[in-house]
Amino acid sequence: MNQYFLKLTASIFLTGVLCVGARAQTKLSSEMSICSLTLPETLKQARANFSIIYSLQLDNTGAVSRLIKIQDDFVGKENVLSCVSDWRFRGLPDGAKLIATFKWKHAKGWVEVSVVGKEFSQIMRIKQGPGY
Amino acid sequence: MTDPRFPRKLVLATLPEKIRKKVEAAIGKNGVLTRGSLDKILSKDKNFLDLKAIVNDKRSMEITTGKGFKNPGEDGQEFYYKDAIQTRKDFVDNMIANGSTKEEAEALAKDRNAFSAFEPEATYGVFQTPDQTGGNPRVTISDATGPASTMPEDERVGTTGHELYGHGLKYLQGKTWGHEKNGPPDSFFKGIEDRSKANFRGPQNLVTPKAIKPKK
Repeated sequence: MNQYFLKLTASIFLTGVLCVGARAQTKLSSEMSICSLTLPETLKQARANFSIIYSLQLDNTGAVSRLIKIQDDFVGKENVLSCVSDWRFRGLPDGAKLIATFKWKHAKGWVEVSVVGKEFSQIMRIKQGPGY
Repeated sequence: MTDPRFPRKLVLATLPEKIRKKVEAAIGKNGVLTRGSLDKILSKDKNFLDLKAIVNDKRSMEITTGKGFKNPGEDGQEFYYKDAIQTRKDFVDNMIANGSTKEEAEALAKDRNAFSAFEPEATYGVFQTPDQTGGNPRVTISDATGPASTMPEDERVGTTGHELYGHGLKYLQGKTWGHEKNGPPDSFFKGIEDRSKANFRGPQNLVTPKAIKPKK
């Protein structure tokens, strides 16, 4: 099981660059890593469905300068910070706020990462996740 | 119909209504279904056949209800349930608690819901191996109290089927019992959950409102 999870962790670290729209003069783009956030084994074993939610504040380079926990009983801020540290949202104003949601489904694993804000929305569905 | 104090009621609820009394009568005063005790009950229902296979196995299986569960060396896990409305409300409340205005929080909730809908969130139940229980393999289902007090009955019944006839029986059969890639497919577990819920609701509730034509 652990071997399998490690393989998935290795394979799921995909990085994509998506151009999602255009503002007046600045091209809006995002760059994100999808991380297999670690969960307690007991939670993976149980029939459980839940989300963890964080508020992200961006600096003038589009990096996450501030991370605020909105809902997370299982993963922990440090792990999420590590995941979002290389995320970039270019073209959004300095100080822009986004909401990042990671959805977990029993038997599937992390199935969805969404990032939503006033001027930006993106959702990524993760298929054929780790199960547990 | 089910009483959280009695896990036997959850097991019975996964079975067709017409055989529940016969199965209940086979349960001993100590709450045990002994090997062979279901052999004279005739039913082709898949859940019943799975239950009979578990009962006739030479090993024992426990089913219980509780507020959570614990594995050796790990923190315990509490069962809980929030419906989609509560999940959305918690989101808005937590945003406000972290400095957003109500208007900002509501706008974000609306935007988020448009892309990724708020859904029920829960921990329903679990199957544990003898290594984890220190005894028999065990199914534990939420007793629908405390943070799980609003958990729908059909979800508890569906989870009972999932854990007992899915993980539990596969474990006794010596097969891959988890959700690994080489384990039973998702459709296997969904079939059990759907069958358990359908048995719980009974045939009279299988007609959806859409199928009922309005009177002229």
